Amino acid sequence: MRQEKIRFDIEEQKIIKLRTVMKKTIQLDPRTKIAILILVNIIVLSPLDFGLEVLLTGLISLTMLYAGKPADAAKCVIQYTAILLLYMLVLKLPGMLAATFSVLFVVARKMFPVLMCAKILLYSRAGELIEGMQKIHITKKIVIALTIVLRFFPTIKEEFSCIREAMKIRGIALNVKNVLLHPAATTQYILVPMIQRLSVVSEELSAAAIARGIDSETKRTSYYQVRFGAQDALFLCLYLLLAVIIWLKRLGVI
Amino acid sequence: MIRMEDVGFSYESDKSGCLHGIDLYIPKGQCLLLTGVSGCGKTTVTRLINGLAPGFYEGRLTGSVKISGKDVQEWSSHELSGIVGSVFQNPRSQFFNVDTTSEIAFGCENIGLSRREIQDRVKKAAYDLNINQLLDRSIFSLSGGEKQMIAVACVYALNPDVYVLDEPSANLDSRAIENLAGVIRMLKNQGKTIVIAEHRLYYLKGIADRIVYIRDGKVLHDWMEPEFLALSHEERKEMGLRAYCLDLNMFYNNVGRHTEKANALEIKKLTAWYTRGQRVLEQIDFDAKKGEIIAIIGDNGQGKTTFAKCVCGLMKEKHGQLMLYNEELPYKKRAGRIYLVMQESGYQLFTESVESELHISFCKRSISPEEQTRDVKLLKDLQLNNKMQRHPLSLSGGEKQRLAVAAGILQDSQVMFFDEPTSGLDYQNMEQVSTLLQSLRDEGKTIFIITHDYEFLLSACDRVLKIENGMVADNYYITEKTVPKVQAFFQVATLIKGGISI
Repeated sequence: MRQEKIRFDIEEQKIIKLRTVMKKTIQLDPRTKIAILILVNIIVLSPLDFGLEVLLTGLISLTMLYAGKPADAAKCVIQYTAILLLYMLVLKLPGMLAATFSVLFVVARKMFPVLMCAKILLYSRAGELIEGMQKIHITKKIVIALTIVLRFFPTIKEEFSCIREAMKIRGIALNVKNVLLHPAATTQYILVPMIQRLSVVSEELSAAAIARGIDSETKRTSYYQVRFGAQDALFLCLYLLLAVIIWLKRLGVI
Repeated sequence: MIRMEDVGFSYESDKSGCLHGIDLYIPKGQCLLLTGVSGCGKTTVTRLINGLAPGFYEGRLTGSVKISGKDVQEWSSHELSGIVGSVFQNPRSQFFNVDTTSEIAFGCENIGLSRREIQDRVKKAAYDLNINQLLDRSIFSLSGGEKQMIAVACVYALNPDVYVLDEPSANLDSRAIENLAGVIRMLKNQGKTIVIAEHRLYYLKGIADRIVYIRDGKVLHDWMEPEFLALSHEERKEMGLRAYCLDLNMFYNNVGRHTEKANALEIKKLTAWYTRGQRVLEQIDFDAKKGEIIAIIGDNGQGKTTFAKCVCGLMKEKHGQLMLYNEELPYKKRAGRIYLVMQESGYQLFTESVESELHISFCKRSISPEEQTRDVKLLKDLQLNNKMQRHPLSLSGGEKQRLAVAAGILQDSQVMFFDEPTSGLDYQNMEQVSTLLQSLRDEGKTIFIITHDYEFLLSACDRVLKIENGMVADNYYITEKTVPKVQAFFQVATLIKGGISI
């Protein structure tokens, strides 16, 4: 019981903390988050000078802070700094090596802000995301598909750890040595049970969804209410401003 | 409420589970328990009521299934979901959302209720089912029992007149089953019509009004509860049914087996922590003898699984030592030497045929004739010899389990762990598992079984290890004197007195 209780208490505290933070700041509308994600995608795809890139990451960290996740924000800042430092280090390497490795780090640098935005989007509850998408009239089929995708990541994680354990017991452990020496066999041993499990889950899930009226013709409603407020306008403006600066710079105006 | 007239159904792709000439009238407010051996068609009956067959599971339907006087096929799917609520077997695959509150609201959103109404209903469902503490949590952090409660809440929020439950207890532990029983009793008191397809019957004693026994797709018996209670245990076993009443000593059969004195496995001061630094196992000392079947019991979250994982080499302990036949077995060498048969043995099978499954490895090597004869004999012992070329994943649940055991035997594992080997099994299959375990014991294997199955435990195990709070809370051989201890853990006495209440 004790351990159960400790776990429970921790969860409880987390919930209380979350609720107080949420009361203090009004959460961003999931639509705003989607807009930010798209905008950041466009921004990182265009050529970007170093200062602006740092500024962008800073802005996203700020958004994370606003979303009430200081720990995540700190973690991201540290990780990003680490990537930058490594990048600079790699540039010091002789010719060819520098060229090959620096490409890797450039990609990592570009991807990082996008991943941060995705993380922010996932802070919203599934129900809120659905309502946000419903409000901008995305068709139900796409909304449902996206909900299932969200749900499948943790499922895959769970299934994967089970398969890993099973492989270990059967004497075909998943480790670096085996992956390098027998890539084909390892892939097979992971994929066969994984695909089988996922197909079972998806069939049962579809049945459960139909029994709960997912294919009804009536317009879906929502438990959650999403509102576009001042805070959304503010953050959107900040991101737009940054985008405009970047584009003006590119066109040579500034 | 529900009327089936001369109903027949056959699946397009599957031969088992077909129905012929079912006539069944279920009045409003009745709690009906459908039972029968695996593949008899009881799940199909539930699917006809909630419209999943032939709506989702395709097949040919004859006769008529009417709910409230209207044919199921004529109800539109969302109308039907407001009238018939379904809870399924596997708590893991019923969820659409990642968080609990969104999930409970999900059905109501689909049928287009107003926001105000949905919020009220979610609140009411959480209150009535006593799961307020589960709101706003990630579903992936919940235990199986908690997940099943959320699944019930999701249906409860829709407030249907009919509840259809398909083996709802299959993946639950004994405490969670008690909760489930309490909830079903509450639904019954609200005057709901309830149809439950189940193998595990005891928890419905005093709740079910009527028991329908299905064999080969036909209704063979239709009892009211008192008539069913009057059946003898022999008659029940004959029909392949699990116990309905858990009488005091009925399952216990001691044939005086603990003769071996040699210690097979010695566990010394085993202590394990989670990554967060919480202690989950504390100084576990335990000796297991050669040829013993040991049941590991304890509530969820008390350390049973962690114990199994440590001993099987899936999780590293903080301190402690493991000796297998007087030879120290460090963490890295454990996996495989100590074997684990998982609850879903399908996870443990990786190749394309039963035959090749036995010799899985990264390096291809030829199999000698001696090995081949040994394989054939082993598979014959496990009744798998006519399935050598089959794909392992096309086997039935019990066959997969036996194949996983065969692989363990060939790996020369002396100690085997089984995780809930009888969950969701009917009487015959449970007996088969017992027989398998006896034969493994006779070969001198030491067997540990994590189980919540009282009937199985008493009929198959020699010894009980109870883990509580990460420590050995109790450790005894099953004799006439100690049977009451087992009963106390499973709260059999309260069950016998007549049902469970929350």
